[in-house]
Parts: sequence; structure tokens; C-alpha cells
Amino acid sequence: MAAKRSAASAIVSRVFAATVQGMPAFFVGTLLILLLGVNLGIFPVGGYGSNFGEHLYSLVLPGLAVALTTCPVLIRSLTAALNDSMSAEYTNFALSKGLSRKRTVIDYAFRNAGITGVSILGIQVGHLVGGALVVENVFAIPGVGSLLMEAVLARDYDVVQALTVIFGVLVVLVYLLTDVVYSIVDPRVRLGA
Amino acid sequence: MPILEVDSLTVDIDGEAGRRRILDDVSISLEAGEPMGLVGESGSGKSMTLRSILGMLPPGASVVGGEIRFDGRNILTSGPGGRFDQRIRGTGISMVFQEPAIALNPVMKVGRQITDAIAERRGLSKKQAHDLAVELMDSVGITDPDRRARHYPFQLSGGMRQRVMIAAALAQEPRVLLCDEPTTALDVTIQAQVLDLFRTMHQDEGLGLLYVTHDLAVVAQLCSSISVMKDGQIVEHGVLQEVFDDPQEEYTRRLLTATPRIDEGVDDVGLAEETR
Repeated sequence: MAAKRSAASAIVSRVFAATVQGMPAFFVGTLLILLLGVNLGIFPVGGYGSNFGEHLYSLVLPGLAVALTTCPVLIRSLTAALNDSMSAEYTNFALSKGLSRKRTVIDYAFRNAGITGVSILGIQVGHLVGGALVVENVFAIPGVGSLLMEAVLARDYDVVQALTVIFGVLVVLVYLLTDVVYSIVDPRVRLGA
Repeated sequence: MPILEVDSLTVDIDGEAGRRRILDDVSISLEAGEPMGLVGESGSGKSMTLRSILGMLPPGASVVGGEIRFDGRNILTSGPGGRFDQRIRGTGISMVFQEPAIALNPVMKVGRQITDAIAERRGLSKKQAHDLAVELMDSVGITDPDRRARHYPFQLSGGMRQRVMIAAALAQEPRVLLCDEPTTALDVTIQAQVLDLFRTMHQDEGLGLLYVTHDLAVVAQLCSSISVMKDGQIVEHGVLQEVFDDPQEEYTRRLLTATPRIDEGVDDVGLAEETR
């Protein structure tokens, strides 16, 4: 029964991941605007508002669009990593000691699968720094991505150069943070295997 | 009465080539404190037998017949809802795996791995669990256990890791220890030390051993009885010396002569004929 349920959820998550992976960000963004903005009217269809609360409110849909297009890779790699660690010998040994299934999954399977997740998430966030440009345009948000594009079109070299440096520094910082987190979750990195 | 009885156990596995029988009418009877060797070539079902005893068959495999009785109780059905009784794991029967390098969680300190199961069951505090782990590590011959308990598996040598695994398996004072080729991955001197440890454990604690190996020399050193497996069946069982001196089965005879001796040639190894 549990096996059937997990098989069903595996299929659902794979279909979802494959479907979303096939959609470009501007398409997902447009769909969200149509559905939640125009038809249901829950969120603004674009713009950035004028105070902090409105900023956050305006960022919900773009955030969702970015999240939806980023998650398929993460879903698939985490699923694979989790499958690996669930059938790994250390998981078998944990069960053979009489550790409960819940604790085994949390302390053994998740901990090890998480290491893969951290490195992939780091790369994805690195991509986002410069890669959210399309989504910014779809939602008409006056972000750095749009600024870069306007600067390029206007041949404003100073702005382009400044933004490139800023993007570069941000990406390096994100990767640095990834490495720090990585060394926290994997003692082999921290202590040098 | 035997502490562990495997009675006519039959296990099938569903594979790509259809259903296949991997254990066929396997019966093993282990007295309390008895060290029994279970030998046979790769794929003969030795490891499968051990995994069925702990209710840890791989996906697709299922018990289709027979009983596994621990202390007279059929553990295949005595759990909640008539399923496998998982409470037996650790407390009644434990297992030492073949490769300590992959059977320990790489991202958890070894002290915690030794006592996490018992700590969960008995609600031990972190301090109590650590102290118990140190005590257990000391009892399996790990020097400086207080420091080593805080180490990760990759910081320990192969022999140390195997001792850690043995300590973890013995943490809840089981009465039967299943050993799945626990010394195969170790080099010879370390192997001898670990075998000594098994011998002490069984002599001092009255621990029943079901020792799976394909190394007959190890069986000769450690065990008092032997079962021989081939193609998922037990083909011969008996007191160690009797089986070694006068094997009744042709297969056992060939298995015994397949052990290379330093004072003889190796060109007429009996088992090789079959694979040719």
C-alpha cells in the first residue's frame, strides 16, 4: 500500500518536473499572470508598487515563476539522490540496528541526499543572479536585469560594466556561501577526507 | 531449544526475467551461543538468508513459504498486523555487514551511529548515549574511545570501522549475530584481530553466530558447525570436524578441495570444471 502510494507520488512528481522543465520562464510567467492576475485577480499583473508591502506583493508571481522553472532540475536530482541513499548499505545497516524508519530516513537518507541538493541549489541560485532578466521583463519589474538590458540598448557602457562586476561578485558570493554550507553538511569536506 | 530456527524458508524474487526462486526450502537451526558457519559460492543465497532473517529483503523479493522462529516465536508474522516483527532487530538479532566503508553513514559521527537505535528505543539523553558508545567501543577493543566516538567513519581505518559496526550491532545485547563476510574487506592481520573479537564475543557473552563466508579457513577457526549452500538450498549441514573430515555431498567435497594449499599445486581445483 505504502509502496503503491510512493509509486504514484513518484509518477506525479516526474510528470510535473518534466512538464515544467519544458516551459520557458516567460511562458510560465505569462500563464501565471493570466490565471492568478487577470482571471482570478489575486495578484497584480505587473509593476512593483510604491512601498515595501506592495513590493513584496508584486514579487509573489515573479517569484513563483522563477521557482517553478528552477525546481525541476532540483526535483529530479534530489529524487535520484534520495533513491540512492535509501537503498545504500548504511541505510540497511541503520534499519538492521532497529532504528525506526522515520529516524533512518531523516538521519541517514535525507542527510546524504541533502549534500547533492546543496551543490545543485548553489549552481541554480548562481544562475538566477543574472538569469531572472526575462521574468523581470514579463512582470515589468524595474530590476537590475531590466536596467542591464536598457543600458545595453542605450550603449551606456559605464552602467553595463558596473552591473557586470556586481553580477560577478554576487555569483562568487553565492558560490562561496554554497561551499560554506557544503562543508557544514559534509564533514568529509570540512575535515579533509 | 534452538534460539534461531529457519524452517523451510522459501523466497522468490520478481526480476526482469520473471519470477525466480532464490531460497528453496532453507532450514537452519542455531542453538544459543553456537557459532555456525554458512558457506557457499557467490550467489548461492547466503546473504539472502541473512537478510530474510532480519526482514530486509530487497525490493521484489518476498517470502513465499516457511517460518523464521526466534525463541520459539515466528518473527515473520509476530509483528503488528501480522507482519515481520521489527522489534527483533538489534535486540534479538543483529547483523554485521561486509563493507564497513559503505555500511556506516559517512556524515554521522561513529559514536552516535553505535547508539542511535538504542537511544531512540530507550529515550537516552545525548550524554548517556555517548557514554554508552564509549563503553561499547572500549569493549570491542578500540583504544581512546572517547576521542574516536567523535570521529567520522572516513577518519577511521578499515579495521576500526568494522569494530565500530560490531559495537553498534551489539549495543542492544542481541542473542544472535548475523555476520555477512565481515572480514572479507579487511587485510589479513586485521582480519585475524576481528576474528579474535568474534570468538571472545561468542565465548564470553554466549552470543550465537551465523557466520556467512566463502572462506573455509575462517569457518575452521571460528565455528563449531557448518551449513553448505548451493543454488539457494542447504546441501549439507553438520558438526564442523565431521563435515571437514567426511563430507557427504559431492559439492562440499569439491568446495573443500577448492581451497588452495601452499604445499600443493592449484591446477586441479575441482570447482573450476563446472564453470568451464
